[in-house]
Amino acid sequence: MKTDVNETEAALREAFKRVYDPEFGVSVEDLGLIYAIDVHAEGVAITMTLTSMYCPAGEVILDGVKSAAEAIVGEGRADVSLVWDPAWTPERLSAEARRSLGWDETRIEE
Amino acid sequence: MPLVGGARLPLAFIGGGLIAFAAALAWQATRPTLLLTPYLHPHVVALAHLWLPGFLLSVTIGAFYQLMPVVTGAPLRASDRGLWLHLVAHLAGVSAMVVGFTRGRYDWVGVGGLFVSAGVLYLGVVTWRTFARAAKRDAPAWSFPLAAGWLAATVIAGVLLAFHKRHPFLPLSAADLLKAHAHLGLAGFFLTLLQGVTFQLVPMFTMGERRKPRLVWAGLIATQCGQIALAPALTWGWTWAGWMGAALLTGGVVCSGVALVATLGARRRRRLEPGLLAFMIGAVLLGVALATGLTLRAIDGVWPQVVTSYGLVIVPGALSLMVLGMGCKIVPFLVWMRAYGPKVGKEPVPLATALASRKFEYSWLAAHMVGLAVLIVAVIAANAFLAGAGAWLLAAGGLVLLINFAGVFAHLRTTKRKTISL
Repeated sequence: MKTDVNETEAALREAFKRVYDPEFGVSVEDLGLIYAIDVHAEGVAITMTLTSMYCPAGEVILDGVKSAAEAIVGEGRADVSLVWDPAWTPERLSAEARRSLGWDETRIEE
Repeated sequence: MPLVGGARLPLAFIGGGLIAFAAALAWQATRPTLLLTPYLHPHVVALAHLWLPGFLLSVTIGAFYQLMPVVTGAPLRASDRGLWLHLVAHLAGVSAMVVGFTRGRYDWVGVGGLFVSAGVLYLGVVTWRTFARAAKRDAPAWSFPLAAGWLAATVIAGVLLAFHKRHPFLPLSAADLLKAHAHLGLAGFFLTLLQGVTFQLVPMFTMGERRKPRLVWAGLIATQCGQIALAPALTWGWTWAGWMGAALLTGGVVCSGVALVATLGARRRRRLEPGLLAFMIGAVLLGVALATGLTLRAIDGVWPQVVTSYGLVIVPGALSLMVLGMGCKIVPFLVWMRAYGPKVGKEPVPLATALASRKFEYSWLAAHMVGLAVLIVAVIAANAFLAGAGAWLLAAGGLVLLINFAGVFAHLRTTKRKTISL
């Protein structure tokens, strides 16, 4: 069962690498927007945030995450919750995202 | 983000503005000596109206309706029918004004002015109704109702000017009223709006955050006070009020400039794309324009060609670069939201930034900058050959940018027929 959970979470994270912020060209996974994935009997519950409360593509990104999750869980439910606490910070960017944004490691740590 | 009118309405205003932009560039290229004629010549006034309410105001209104709900956190309090009627009234009104000035038909100008005024009145009502329910009341949010107020003052001054020129009834000179009309529109509407939305858009497109919010407020407040002093000072020739207004405007722009530099420094996307580069160059030119404006106030008996050059620095210079620069970001984003937004997570879709060509945007920016510089030299030197060269360079740059935008708009039609993978 634990293996199934891990496999589902890995598949979801892989799927979220194909859901991009349309402006920055970085996936929601590499942006560090996915805070938690809870795989349970009925489906999955995803807790995520956005880079800004006023992100103009917010709704589209949330719907994209939900659609990508539904494709993985099939018949199961995919719930996406948007949270603002803890707030997103650039420390959550992956190394790939930092390179893509032209932001070197030194600047991130400052 | 709520897409106003499914993004079609903002894109329609922007499209209408871009058609006016193309017409203005084509007119200048075919009659470059137009800019060497005195700025009060009806054809120059017609050209100015093609640039300002035609191009810049149309594009700005499109962005205004789309951005206001994002910035204030309140849905736009307007009906779809009302917004589309505004578009029709605005485009019909501007067309009548431009043709009226060109043909010396001031009755057409009057009717066109009334159509544009009706649209501006509608925009003002929508803006204040929306702002009354705003969840956010920061400086960018306040810039919307304030700018709408200045726009209303601009059209009132314009209508008064049109009637006064036909049947003089005011104890004022038409030239002074024209100065007030121009400054109300330029410093009142465009500058106020830019001082607000810049601090929403720049962080949004650079993954940054607004810095020095007190300076953002100070900039906006100083500009408002400056404009309150400057508009009557220009109309009635009050010297000290004029100086005070100009000083406050300058101080306001300096405050906003410092906050903008700090905000840009906080960006997480380090590389500046051509659109943002154009926007920043426009902001620098705005500072140059203010310095020029202050110099002009200090000099008695300014040459008409210097006034034309001042107008060139502001209109095809600062404002066009700022508006088109942001257009390079907003247009692909709106088209992407409409064409590809619903498909995210279900199938591969292109990025919003991939809809436009960076090469085309850089080419436009380079040609526009060189063309503008040549045009300013041509006007000061009263050189027809250089005026032609500058106008053609501007037109060539504009054509490249319009082809780029056409490619972006084409995604609205092709999205159903092909899927573009990343």
